[in-house]
Amino acid sequence: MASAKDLRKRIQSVKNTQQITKAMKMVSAAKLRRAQDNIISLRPYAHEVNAVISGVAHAGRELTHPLLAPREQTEKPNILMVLVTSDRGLCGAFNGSIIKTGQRLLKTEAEKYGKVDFAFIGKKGYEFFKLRKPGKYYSSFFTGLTFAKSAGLSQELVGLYLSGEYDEIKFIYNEFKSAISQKVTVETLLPIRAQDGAQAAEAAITIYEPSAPEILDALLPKHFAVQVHRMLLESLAGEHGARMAAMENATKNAGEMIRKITLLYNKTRQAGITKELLEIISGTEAAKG
Amino acid sequence: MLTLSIVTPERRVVGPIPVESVPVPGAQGAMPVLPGHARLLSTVDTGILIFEREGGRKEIAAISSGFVEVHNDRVIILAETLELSQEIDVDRARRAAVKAQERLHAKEDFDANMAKWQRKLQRALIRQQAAEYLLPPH
Repeated sequence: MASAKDLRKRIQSVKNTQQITKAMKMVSAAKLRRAQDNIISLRPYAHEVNAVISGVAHAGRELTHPLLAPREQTEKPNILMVLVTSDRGLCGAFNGSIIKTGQRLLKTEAEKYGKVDFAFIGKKGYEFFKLRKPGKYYSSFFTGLTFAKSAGLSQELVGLYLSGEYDEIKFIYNEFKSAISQKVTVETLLPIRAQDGAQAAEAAITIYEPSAPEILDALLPKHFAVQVHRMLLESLAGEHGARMAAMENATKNAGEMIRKITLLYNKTRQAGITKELLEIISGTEAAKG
Repeated sequence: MLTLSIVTPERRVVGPIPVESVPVPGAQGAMPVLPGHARLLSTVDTGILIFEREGGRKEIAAISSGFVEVHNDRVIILAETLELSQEIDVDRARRAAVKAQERLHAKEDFDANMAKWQRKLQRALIRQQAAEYLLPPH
């Protein structure tokens, strides 16, 4: 049985850990709020870009664009899957579920596609697949994530798509549902699915400057960049949410542990006192003779 | 009256506000948009944008790579980057301009990066201009 001193030490050590997890939870909560604000401030822009695109699409004429239409059905199209994980751990099942989905897709999609490649954003996914299924790694993406950064990445992806290297680009990421729940989502980003034509088509005469195809040429990559940025922001917010929940749990567990060890400590202390008393009493009894 | 809103991916610069006109640096030169304008969709060049906030405070902004949509007297400007004049770091813009100019004069990477440096130079100059812009008297 552990001595009272050992128990005191253990209580102190758990308390220290609890303090760290509590602090991490607080930090994550603050970061989560900021990440959520970023998602919200992207919304008006994303909304307007969408509105403009559907406006162009409804302007009465058929618009074709290499980013819009699905490719001529080749036998075995090539696909690039971008796995979005976090750079840091201690966030529960956040990365594990992405990795699991990636592994599953790797198996199931192998027959449908000619070439299945991975690309990684976030260190955790990259490290897991480094030896199993290596792919391009976009490192330290989440430190100082700006729209410009996402736009650069999306430009590169559009380049890969247009060069014909890939016929489809999918993102696997954690969608931000709420502060405590994320959902693994697989989304096809390229080709861009043409908007539903069901909405009232306004046949208004629109002046396009310089010209409709050129506008579309500039607008669609922007739309794509917005989507990429949104997903990265959601993943980042999800990461902080997951870490917050994990740390909250850890703090609670540490509290439970402290309670248990304290109980044990008190019992040991009591037993010690009782033993000492017994010794003293029996000692005096013996001295009386 | 027109309703103007300007949004970037990072923020909504101005919510829908009523304005009398908007001078837009369009793809084919600057154009003032007035009420009753035909439906228009245009790219926006690197340039200076001047607008008036509610209450009459004038704002000057350097804008690049964006779009403008005019529809039913609603003007929406989508800009990838937009900096208000008071946010611009003039020294940085000046340094960027000097660097771009040096690069353009250097012979080595003449073809490859020509366009890139030209764009950079233009942006830097526009930012400088926006920062030092003097408001015309009303």
